[in-house]
Amino acid sequence: MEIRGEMSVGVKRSPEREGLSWLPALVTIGIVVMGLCWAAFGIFKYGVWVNNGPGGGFFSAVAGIGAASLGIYEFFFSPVRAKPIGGKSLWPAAAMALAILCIPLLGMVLSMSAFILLWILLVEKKSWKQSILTGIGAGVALYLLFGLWLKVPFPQGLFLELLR
Amino acid sequence: MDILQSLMSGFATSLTFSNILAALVGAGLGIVIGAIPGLGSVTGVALLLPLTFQMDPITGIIMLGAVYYGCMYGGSYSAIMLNIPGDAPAVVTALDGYPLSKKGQAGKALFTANISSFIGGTIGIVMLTFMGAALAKVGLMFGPAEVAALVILALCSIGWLLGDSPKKGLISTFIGIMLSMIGIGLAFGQPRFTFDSMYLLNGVSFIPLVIGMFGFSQVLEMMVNRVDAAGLMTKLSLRESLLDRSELRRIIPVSLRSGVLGNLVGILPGAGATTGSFLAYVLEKKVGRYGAEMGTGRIEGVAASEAGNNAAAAGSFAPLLSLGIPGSGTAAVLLGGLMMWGVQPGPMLFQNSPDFVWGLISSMYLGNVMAVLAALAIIPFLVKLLRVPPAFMIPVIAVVCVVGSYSVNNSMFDVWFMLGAGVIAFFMNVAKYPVAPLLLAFVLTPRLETSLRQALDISRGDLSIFLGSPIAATLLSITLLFFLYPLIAKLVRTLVKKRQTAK
Repeated sequence: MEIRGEMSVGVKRSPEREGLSWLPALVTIGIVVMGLCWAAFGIFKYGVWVNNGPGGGFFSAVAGIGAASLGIYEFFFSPVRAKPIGGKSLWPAAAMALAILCIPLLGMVLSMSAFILLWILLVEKKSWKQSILTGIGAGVALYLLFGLWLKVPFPQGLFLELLR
Repeated sequence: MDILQSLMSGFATSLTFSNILAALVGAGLGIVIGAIPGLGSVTGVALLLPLTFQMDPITGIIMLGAVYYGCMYGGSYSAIMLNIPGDAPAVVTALDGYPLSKKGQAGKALFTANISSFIGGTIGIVMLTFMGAALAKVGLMFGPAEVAALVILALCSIGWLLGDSPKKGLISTFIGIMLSMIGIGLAFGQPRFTFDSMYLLNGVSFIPLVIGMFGFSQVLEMMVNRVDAAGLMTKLSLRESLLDRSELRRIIPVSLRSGVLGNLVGILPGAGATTGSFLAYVLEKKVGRYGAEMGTGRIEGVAASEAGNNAAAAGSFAPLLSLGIPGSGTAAVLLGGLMMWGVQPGPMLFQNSPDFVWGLISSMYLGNVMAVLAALAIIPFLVKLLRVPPAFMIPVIAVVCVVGSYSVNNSMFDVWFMLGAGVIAFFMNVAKYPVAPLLLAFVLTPRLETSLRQALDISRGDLSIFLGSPIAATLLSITLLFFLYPLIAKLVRTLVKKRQTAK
């Protein structure tokens, strides 16, 4: 898989191009698979032309076939150089996924405050003071703006429920 | 003359201290709500509607009108500064607005957005004042075949936005169409691509998709390009943000053109501000002097999108007031408000409640002026906000993305969906697939599917319905011309070259 990706994207291995250099090929493969699935479901399950007009699968079939065929062309004939990026760029997504998993326990406001605080402290290596001030400030702003003013029913979390 | 007199009497009703204050407060609140990702004008007007029931109806509708305009202004802010469009029409604004921010010209982009929003809004209101009823009738001439032809034109126009690789842009468009197929199909009531998940029955929610694809992917991008972000922070100053005379000269004709087109699109039932801003952008890209450079950070791009969007918003009032048909989601909420005040919009409104209707129209002028004043006053603070270093911006924007996507439907599924969309969009950016065509195709396809089905149901499958209608035939001819234009241009160039060599 990796060798294939390297060939198709035309990226030479060098320290700065390591990391996610195989991504363009993987993205294109994903698009082709998605296109084929949508086309197959459109044609065989939802119907392309029903009762003198486009059926539920008409647009899926057209878009699916289009995406798959252009994707195959891109994969073989149009190599892309990947940006010199590393896996570090995905840290915010991973950290945020963890914070979201904490929402049932801590609630939305506390989880998001904790995310900001810990990110600034551990990843950005800023001082305790800056981290705590930003984390708490953001939490208070979230609560006032969304919770109190806009009345968005944020999940409270088990922690606050137990405190009550 | 009657119209002018009525308008003046409307101003006499609306220009009181309490009404001006209501307009100012409404405009300020609208800008704040519009700038928050996930909350558009529909939410803004819906949230403040209950507050206005305590007020005098004229004051109430003035405040709501100002909230609506404020939201339209505010929607562009997060698009320009953070690449997170506050609402659907602002997706087009982000195409040039965010690249301008990256060049250190966020202030110029914000000024452009405000001024062109004002011009577009004014064109829309003036056209509504003098031709409201006539415009609404033009809107009614657009049946399913005509709307389908218009959306086909808009969808095919995406091709002009695709940038470096048309093939990749086209793939992105196809992905947008595929995503829009998820959920219960409007034409058949049949669940599609839901994978037995009840969360997908209503389809993919647009706002979490936009926040993820534009906003969260930007957070990931900022991790990679920290040096660029730090450079941008030092370049910003308010003085450099002001538009000079030559820049004003560049954006005014663009705003005028886009305002007229956006207004005409806005009056079509269901077309909305997104189609208005998008078609205005496409028109500018085709006919504008700097069309080829649009998408790389041109103030003309921001001007076209914002003028089109605001003019379309005003246009959506024409069918609402004259026919009782709301032209947009926000107009539908306002319709509810009008009915609660005992006002029945429709052909008799201008005769039965002239004070109210002219008060409303004059309040739109007032709301537009208040919104531009509030918006211009807020720019220095926004410019300062952009100086926050990436170390603090990254976690704060990530949290805004999560909260914004949650607050649309109060659903954790939307939050996870936003996160996934953000990661996928980041991967697409790495692989050089543009994201904007995906979002525009996603917005336009359901409208095309429904209209196409309705048109062919009416004609019993006879495709000549598109040729029988002069409007549909014209729109389809323009689409065909768009496709053939590169070939025709090439042919003409070759012929001219041959003739020159023969001489």
